[in-house]
Amino acid sequence: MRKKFSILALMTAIVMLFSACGQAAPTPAPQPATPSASEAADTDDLLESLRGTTVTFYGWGGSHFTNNWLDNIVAASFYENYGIIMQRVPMDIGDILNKLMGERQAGISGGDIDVVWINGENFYTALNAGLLYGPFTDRIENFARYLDPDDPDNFFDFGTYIGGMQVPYGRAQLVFAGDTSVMDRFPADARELLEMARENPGRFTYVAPPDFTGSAFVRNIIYEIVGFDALFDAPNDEQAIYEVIRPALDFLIELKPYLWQEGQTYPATTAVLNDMFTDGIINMTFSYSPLFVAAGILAGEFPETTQTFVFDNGNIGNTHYMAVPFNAPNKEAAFRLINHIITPEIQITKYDARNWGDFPVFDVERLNAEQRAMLEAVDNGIGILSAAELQNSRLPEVQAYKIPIIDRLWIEHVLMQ
Amino acid sequence: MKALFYVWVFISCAPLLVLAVMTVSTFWPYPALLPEIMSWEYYYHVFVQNDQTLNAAVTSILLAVSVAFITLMIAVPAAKALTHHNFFGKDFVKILVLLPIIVPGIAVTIGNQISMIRLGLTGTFGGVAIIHSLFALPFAIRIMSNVFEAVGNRLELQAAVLGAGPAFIFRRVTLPQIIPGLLAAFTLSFTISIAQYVTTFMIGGGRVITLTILLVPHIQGGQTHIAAVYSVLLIGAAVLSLSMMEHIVRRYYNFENVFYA
Repeated sequence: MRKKFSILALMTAIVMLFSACGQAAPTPAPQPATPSASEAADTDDLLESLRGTTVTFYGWGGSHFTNNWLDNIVAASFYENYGIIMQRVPMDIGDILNKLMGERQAGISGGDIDVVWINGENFYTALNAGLLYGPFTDRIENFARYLDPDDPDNFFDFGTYIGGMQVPYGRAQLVFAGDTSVMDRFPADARELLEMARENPGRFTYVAPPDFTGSAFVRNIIYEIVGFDALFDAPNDEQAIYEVIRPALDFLIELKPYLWQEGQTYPATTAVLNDMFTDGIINMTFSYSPLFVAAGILAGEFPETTQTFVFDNGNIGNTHYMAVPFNAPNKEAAFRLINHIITPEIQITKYDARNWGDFPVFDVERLNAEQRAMLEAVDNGIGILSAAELQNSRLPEVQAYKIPIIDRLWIEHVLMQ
Repeated sequence: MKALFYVWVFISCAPLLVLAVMTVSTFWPYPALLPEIMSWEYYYHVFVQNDQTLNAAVTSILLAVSVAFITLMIAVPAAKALTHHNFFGKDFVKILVLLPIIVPGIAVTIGNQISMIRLGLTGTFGGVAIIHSLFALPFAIRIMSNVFEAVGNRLELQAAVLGAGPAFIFRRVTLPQIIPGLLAAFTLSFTISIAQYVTTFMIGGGRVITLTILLVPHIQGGQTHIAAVYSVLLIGAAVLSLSMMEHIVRRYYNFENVFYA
């Protein structure tokens, strides 16, 4: 007994000692890494010295369309033009940020990540924790050449001022889809959605926040019920936000008993939601990728009678970006890669639903005749909305820091109800 | 008894069978017993369009073999000492050995990540092998301790009395006795390593790409068919390398599996 006790005491002592060591380690205050003047020159010598080096691209790797486009179109053409090897590493943004925070804590200047695919609340977190390098947009020639300087999406990400710390990568918009052979009309607003769910119990559901797209769906419902301005103007306080969005949460509670499984459980990802739609379990699906219906029909996953739609008052759209971590080992190559990815020719291949179906970031007005012809030649198939229809129905995002609060409130008041 | 065995086989194999069918099914609506549309497109994506796949498979196997060897090199002497020798703080060390699997793995990994960053081991094959070994060691030491307890040290003492040196004793007396246990510990360490994900990306930082690094994002992204292809590949690689290993060992040492029959 006594022996056991002394062992326990010794173990506790050792653990305490270790944790004390951990705390004693200096944590440098987060400071944005700023470019030095010597790095500004972009000469042939520099490009020559980058030849044969490797640049890493870290980001979500859960879609083989996206992965394939990056591996076989971006990496291949980048190597052809610059002789730089692009290595794609599939990693969730949460894991990427944890890794960078660990490296910042340990004071590591030479990291692994050159380019990171990021936006919204993650950009806000990374920026505040000093995990990003920049401003660097002045190093990306195509940024000034092809992007619209009057478009707020190029300067604000979910209400956060970008300040040259990230470059647009693509544009997304929440779109709904239904099968016209099953539904005779689509809901024009949230109220009609509720009516339809009541008439067809168990045939509707949505992805549970904090999934990225599920979270956007809930915000879209909030816009419908209380309006964008009310949410955007709400102070940064959980109680205040709750007061503002309460009618929308009440609406979702009203909708709940008519949902699939009576709203006791929700699909975890849009992939699952799409699968349920494919399998005919539900009448309506949605995605952040506006051309996903065309891609689905092309892949034989959706019936050919599937059609994209949006609410009359519009749907949330946002932009995703590329940033460079504070400790990127090959920053010069990272700038070249980002510049390459936003060239119109590459962006147009991304717009093709057979590759990915993500919307380009360039301003169409700035394209030359050849590039315009290329853009018009992209045939994205059937079941989708036109770029103009989407643009007209595009609603902005609210401040990034409000999103986790809304997700929490949804879990507390709707899911747990 | 025999019926029970078949029930057990069915319960263990049925999910794997579903996994195999998933790799070729593009359209499998809910009540249908078999997929309505089948194709090889997911295999095409994994093997042809993604040139990282085969490299990742090789890395996974090399890593698992290295981990198994590192683990055994540490576990065999450690287990021997813990079983046949007495020293101060032995009970404490026995608990300490299990610590990596008592404390949540992520906590162990984050702690190690910071040390490994300082040592320059992050992003290297060696660093990942070390962190995997850390999680395989508790199991291997446990197995080898039981093995040493079972075989005892009398034959070794006898050989020593007859004038054999330590190296000779290990090679001709100890090793043949513990081979079945070694094989079990090797297999377990190998399996633990090949299934690691969190530790691989925390320490490997995306520079060491294994099959799980490619597999898990597809599960998180809900692309279960692609994930199924990777899973089949992972299981295939593991089973193939382990059975090859066992075959080689059995050629040199003719033994019955006395401990884990």
